Amino acid sequence: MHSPLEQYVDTLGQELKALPIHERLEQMDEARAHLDGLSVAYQELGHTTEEAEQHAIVQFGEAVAVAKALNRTAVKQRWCHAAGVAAIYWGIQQFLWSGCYTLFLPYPHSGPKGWMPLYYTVLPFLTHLAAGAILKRLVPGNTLRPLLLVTGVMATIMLFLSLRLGLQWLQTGTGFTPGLEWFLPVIAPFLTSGALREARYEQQRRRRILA
Amino acid sequence: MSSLTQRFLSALDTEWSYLPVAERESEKQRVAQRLDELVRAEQELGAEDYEAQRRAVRAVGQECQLRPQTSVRLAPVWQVALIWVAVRSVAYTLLGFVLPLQTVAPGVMVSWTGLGMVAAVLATVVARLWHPRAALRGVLYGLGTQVVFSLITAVQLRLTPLPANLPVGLGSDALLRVSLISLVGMVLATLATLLAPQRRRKR
Repeated sequence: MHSPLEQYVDTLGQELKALPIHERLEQMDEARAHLDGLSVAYQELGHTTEEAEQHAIVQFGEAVAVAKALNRTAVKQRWCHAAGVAAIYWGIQQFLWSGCYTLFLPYPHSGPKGWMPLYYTVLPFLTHLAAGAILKRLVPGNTLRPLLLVTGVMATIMLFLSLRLGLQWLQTGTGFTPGLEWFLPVIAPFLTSGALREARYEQQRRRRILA
Repeated sequence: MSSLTQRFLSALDTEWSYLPVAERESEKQRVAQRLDELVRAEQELGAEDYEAQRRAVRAVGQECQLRPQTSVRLAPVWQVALIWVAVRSVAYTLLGFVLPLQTVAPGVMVSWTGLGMVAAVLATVVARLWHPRAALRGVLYGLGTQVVFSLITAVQLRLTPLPANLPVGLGSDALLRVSLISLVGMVLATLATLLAPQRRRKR
């Protein structure tokens, strides 16, 4: 028969679903150490072992609530990391794009007409490809989530831009709406960063676990 | 193989998903073997089955140095520089949607300068949050690269013919002046944000 303290730690472990297993075990150990300390303190105040453990558990907080807070912290940490890596990716791409923009600036308006697609589609695509390859070297194995975030931000910007240019076109009859080629650069980093392989592997792993 | 060690090995799959399949499988086999040995050793020392597995998993987890995320293999200063560039660019683009489309009309340019300053302040705040100790140098590196690119662009604007669809009265001189004012605004806003908290700390 497990003591109330062990039952509490078991429940906590079952609830810590967001953490990898080794971290889960560490959290369980830490909780056990805190609870042991509290229990000893209550015993010194004259309580029996079982009473002391019950008091310690009450003071520590409900297992589900504690686990929820710990899970939330882990998830928050994970997304903060992803957002930081996404920003780093975007910075690399901006750096490359600024270089290209500066070099090729004279051409879209004054150069031959053939430069336009190169300038607005091919160059961004190439800079995203290169940025993806650099990201793979910087954070191997952690590129999928950041790139999904980047895609979300790019899609939002494109949506706003399309709406805006569309409204202008409706009001004045001039201007243009972005074509599908504007969205092409979004897929580029997935090809070179290893994110697709990460996604495929994660899917295989899930299937294997379910089997 | 018991359920706890199985769960550990499946967690390991996710952790090491960046490794090639062959390498990952061989590593997993090595870890599974080590787990078995440790569990047996703990059981021989008198630990119960679950306790033995838990101890083995913890020991192997520490040996493998597992972490939920791969740390970024880049100096913090450059991380901050890139984050500053990225946040400034995204903030500038998103905030820009609130301004009228005719972006190069003389009156509207003042708003764009203000918007650039707001974007620079936001980017500096985010950069400080990401790595407070590397923020000063990192933001200065980011700012430096942006200033260089802006100056080259300004020179290009001066030297190359302008597109025909610009509003009447906006020559390359006007565009150059506006670019330089925006640049100065961005630099001032960034430096002010960088130095403000330090001043407060001194007091």
